[in-house]
Amino acid sequence: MKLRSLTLTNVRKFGGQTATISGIGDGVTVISEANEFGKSTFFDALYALFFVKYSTAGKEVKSLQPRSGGAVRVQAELETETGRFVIEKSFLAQKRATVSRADNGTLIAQDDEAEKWIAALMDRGLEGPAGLLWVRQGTTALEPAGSAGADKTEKEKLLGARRDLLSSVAGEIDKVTGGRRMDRVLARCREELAKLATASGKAKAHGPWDAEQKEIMALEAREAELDAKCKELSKALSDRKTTEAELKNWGQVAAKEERQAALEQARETHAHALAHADKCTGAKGDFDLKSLQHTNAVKGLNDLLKAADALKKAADAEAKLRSQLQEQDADVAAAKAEEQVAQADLTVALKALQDLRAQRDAAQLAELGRNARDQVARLAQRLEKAEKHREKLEEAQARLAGMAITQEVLDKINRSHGQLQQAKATADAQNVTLSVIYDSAVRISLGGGELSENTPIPVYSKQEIALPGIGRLTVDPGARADEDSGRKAVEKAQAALDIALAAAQVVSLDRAHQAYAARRDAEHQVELAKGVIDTVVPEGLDALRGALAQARATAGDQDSDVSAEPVDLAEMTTALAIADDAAGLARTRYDRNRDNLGRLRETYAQTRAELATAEATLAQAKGVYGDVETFPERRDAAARQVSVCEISLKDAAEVLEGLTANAPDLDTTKADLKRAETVVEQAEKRIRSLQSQLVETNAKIRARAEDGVEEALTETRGQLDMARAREGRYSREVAALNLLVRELEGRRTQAREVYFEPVQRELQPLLSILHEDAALNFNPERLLPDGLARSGQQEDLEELSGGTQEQIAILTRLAFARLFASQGHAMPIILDDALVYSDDDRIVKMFTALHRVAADQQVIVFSCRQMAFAKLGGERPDVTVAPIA
Amino acid sequence: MIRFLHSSDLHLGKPFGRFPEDVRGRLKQARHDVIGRLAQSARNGGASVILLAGDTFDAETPAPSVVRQALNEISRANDLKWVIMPGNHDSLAASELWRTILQDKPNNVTLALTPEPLQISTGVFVLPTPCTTRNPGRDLTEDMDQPTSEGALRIGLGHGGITDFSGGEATLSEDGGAAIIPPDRAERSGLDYLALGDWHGQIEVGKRTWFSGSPERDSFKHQKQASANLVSLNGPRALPEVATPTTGQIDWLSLTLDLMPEDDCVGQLNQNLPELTKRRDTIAKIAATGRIGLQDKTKLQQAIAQIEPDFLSLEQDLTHLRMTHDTADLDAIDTAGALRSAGQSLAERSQDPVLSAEEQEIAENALSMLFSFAAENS
Repeated sequence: MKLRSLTLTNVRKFGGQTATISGIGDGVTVISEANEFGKSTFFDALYALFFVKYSTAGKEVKSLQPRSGGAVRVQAELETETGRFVIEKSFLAQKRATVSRADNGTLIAQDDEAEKWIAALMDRGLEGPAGLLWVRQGTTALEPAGSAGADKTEKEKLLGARRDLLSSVAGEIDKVTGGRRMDRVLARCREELAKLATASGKAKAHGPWDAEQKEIMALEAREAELDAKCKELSKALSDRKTTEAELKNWGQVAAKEERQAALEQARETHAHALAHADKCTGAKGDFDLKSLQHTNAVKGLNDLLKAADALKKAADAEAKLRSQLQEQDADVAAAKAEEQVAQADLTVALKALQDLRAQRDAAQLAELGRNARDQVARLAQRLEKAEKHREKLEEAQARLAGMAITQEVLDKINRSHGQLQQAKATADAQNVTLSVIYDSAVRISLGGGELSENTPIPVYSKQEIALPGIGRLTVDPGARADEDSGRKAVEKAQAALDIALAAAQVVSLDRAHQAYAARRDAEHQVELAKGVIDTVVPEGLDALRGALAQARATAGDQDSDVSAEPVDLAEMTTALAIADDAAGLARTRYDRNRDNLGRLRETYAQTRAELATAEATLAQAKGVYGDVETFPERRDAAARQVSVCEISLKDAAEVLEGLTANAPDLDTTKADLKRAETVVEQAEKRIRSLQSQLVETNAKIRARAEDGVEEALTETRGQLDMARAREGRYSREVAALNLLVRELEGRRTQAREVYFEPVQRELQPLLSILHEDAALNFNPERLLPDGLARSGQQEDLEELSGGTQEQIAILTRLAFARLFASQGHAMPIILDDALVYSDDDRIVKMFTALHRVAADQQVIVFSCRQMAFAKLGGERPDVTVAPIA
Repeated sequence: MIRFLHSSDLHLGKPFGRFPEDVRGRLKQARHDVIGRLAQSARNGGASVILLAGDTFDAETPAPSVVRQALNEISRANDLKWVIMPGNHDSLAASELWRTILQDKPNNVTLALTPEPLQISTGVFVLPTPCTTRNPGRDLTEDMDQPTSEGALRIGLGHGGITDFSGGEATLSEDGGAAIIPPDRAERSGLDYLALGDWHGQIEVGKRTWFSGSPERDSFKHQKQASANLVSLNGPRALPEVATPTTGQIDWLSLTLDLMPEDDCVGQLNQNLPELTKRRDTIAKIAATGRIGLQDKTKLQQAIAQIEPDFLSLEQDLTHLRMTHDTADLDAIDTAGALRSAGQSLAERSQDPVLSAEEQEIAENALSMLFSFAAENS
């Protein structure tokens, strides 16, 4: 389809006028006029002609009405493969739509039929691919950018158009995605899936699948509970059966009688055993008595025989002891005599020793007195000598203390003196000197002193010289700067020397040296005195005085006769040792004799005690033995008693043995009786217990039976089976839906990979005009490019410049237009003030792209940029405006 | 001469847990009501005695209300004498049950709790062999050898599976338990009639040996209408005359459609359905086997969904019905493109021998869904 002319009557700024664009060619047609010319009016009117129903009164139509009002009419002449047609619509007033043949004006369709004819021509209008080809002023982007409802709707429409266009033009239906039908089927799958499951595949909360899973859990819990109750009931029934059977056994009469008979038998047997046991006890008592009698008889006989033996032994012992005692008495007497002799010897020896010791002590005392006096004399002599030197020391120290001069002071004086001499020499060298040579004895004086001959005397200041016989001579050196300086230095040195001399308490340097020599002498005296004292009294004077006082006291204590002759102490010591040995021997002998006497006395006393005991034993044995004459008779009688008792004992033993051998086991009969009693008792107890158990079991059975648990369990299991079956169906349904969704999505994705191929095929040559090595990436959801690859670098479309985005958008639309054309539906591409952001270079390339597309279909460009679009070339149609005829 | 009604396996109190609560209520009620219908059948047939050959109750410890209401219902039919014998479900091991019944039973009830002859009429003895436990493990009917008075009519009353009298391995035992009763028990023990219980479908084992079947069906197992045996014994050794009045209220319909791709599956379904008026009292199970196309399966599912509300309960099992996928089926999804490609892939998965049966089934279901969803959006 191609547009050949467009006529607007009473449209917007052309109110009361008719505006016509005519002579629109096959390729690029440019309507480039200044602002306010009415380009957008032509664009909007053309848009309304093709896409707005004649009967509508919407804003897109009202916006076309001029202020003066009236019917809005739009007419276009079209050329299609079947001929040229004129379509016309009158909006708002005189609403009408017509399609007629251009050559002869034959009306082909009117009103709604005309709308259908137009829609078919435009391939479903805006919802068809033609909707892509209209690029309105300011909307050169790929799709509306806003999120408002209208923009969303527009987006949906454009998306649908692109999809349908792609699907239809691909020509490879087995590779397409299924289009909107696929979307609806997928949506349906997801809708069904969402009723049952979450995105993660779990049962959706409160959904039917979830409800079945919960039902199963609840039923399983109930089944477990009922199963437990059923088992409890079953066990109770079984228990009752067992209990009743056992109770029946216990309660049988024959069994009872049998237990009772056994008990009676056990009792009788035990009574018999008890009686036999009594007999045995009696026999045993008799045996024990006989045994005791026999024991006593034997004991009596033995006692008599023992008494005889004991009497003989006691008499022998008493005689022996008595003899020993007599011998011991004699031994004691002899030992006592020896002890007395030894005691006398000891007394003599001790006396001799004592005398010798007294003599020795006296001799030693005299010796000590002599020694002490010698010591006092020596110490007094040393002390006297030391005292003398102490006095010298103190004297020298006193002198030294009065001397102010020291080595340091002397050194200072020497230095001051030297400095003074140096200052004077300096001053002298600078000052006037006076010297005299006498020719006669007359002498002149200066300052009261005679002036020596040939001795230069410095004159520092004005001096008056007495010239005897002549008068007075005044010498004045006058005032000079250097002279004053030397004088001051001499004065300063002199002052320093004076101070040093004063500190040494001397008046001159010579006196200072003398004083220092005197000090050295005094110091020497001190050192000498200290040396003598240290030599004579190394321990110190106080120590010597103490030692002397102590020696004097010691000598005073030895109040001995200093006149007595000295004794030989060594000889005396030897004599004393001999005496001491003799005294020791005497004591040893005495001690031995005394000990011997003691032992003998003890032995004697012991023997006496033993004799007393033996006498008592003898007396006792005699008592036991009794009368000597009747002893044989008594002994024979006791022997006969023993024989009698032996016979009685043997008889009793035989009786006891006989009874014991035939005695029933009392413990056994007792145990048997106990057992029989326990059997009866336990039987009664068991019966009571079973009866009680039965009551409890019956109560339990009744309680459970009333609940109808068995029936409830069967019912629950049936419900559980059904719930599981239902859950299984849901589970399988979810699995099937998931599989279906996966399959559909997978197939659509595969299809999409080839989906954009035809678009790319159309787009690439156009894109290469602008960018030689560029390629566009398509978003599979939006079916639009979302990225540009240039020289291997990927760039998001949104990050590109406004100009590039604009160019890509228009190129994409051109590509879709070429697709549309390739299936035999070539539609005009209409651009209203597009390419507003493109620079000069790119806009020329875009013009080239437009011309390339225009080779197959019309391109109509509205623009106010007359200069820029001058390079677009193309045809410039006639535009005429005239009042309505 | 005596005429009596032989029935068994009432299974009062059977819970039917597999069904929704309202269906369970109807089924339970129908079982309770069968007492009245048995009484009416007896009266209609001129019988004065009703012999219940075991499994009157479904469990050893049924709910007290089940027992009490059953006894009350029996007491209402006090013009009839009821002889009740324990079966394997309500064996003597259910001591509490029988203790309660002994205590509460109306006068027109005689309990056959021991294998001792019961004289129910002059010269007519019932020889009961009550089940001692759920699986006694021995032929209790041996006790039917007990003598009765000369010339008396001897009616055996037993419960349990019967061995196949043809000598084969097949047996008649409802629960698949041990079948021990010999088929010639009636002859061996000189019985005029052997009234058996356990098998829920009525069956004539021999001229004198019958399973009455349950008077109210409880499963799809037996296809015959539920009934009781109205038995007339005209004299010693005379062959019994047996009539089978229907007693059931709820019908159980098990319908299996064996389908081929070219079959009219919906037509086959409708052809086998009961009348509309009977469906409210019918529990139906519709299963299908064979192979059909996607579209036919969808139609079948839609048809089943359409009739489901007619029935007391309708259960469908199409898991054994495999689908065939021809080009037309897949074209119905889409003639080409991703939808068609997905359908093709699922169809291949559903028949991929490498995959497990479960995975094949999932793929088949997914394909079926795709078919439905695509049809919605065609």
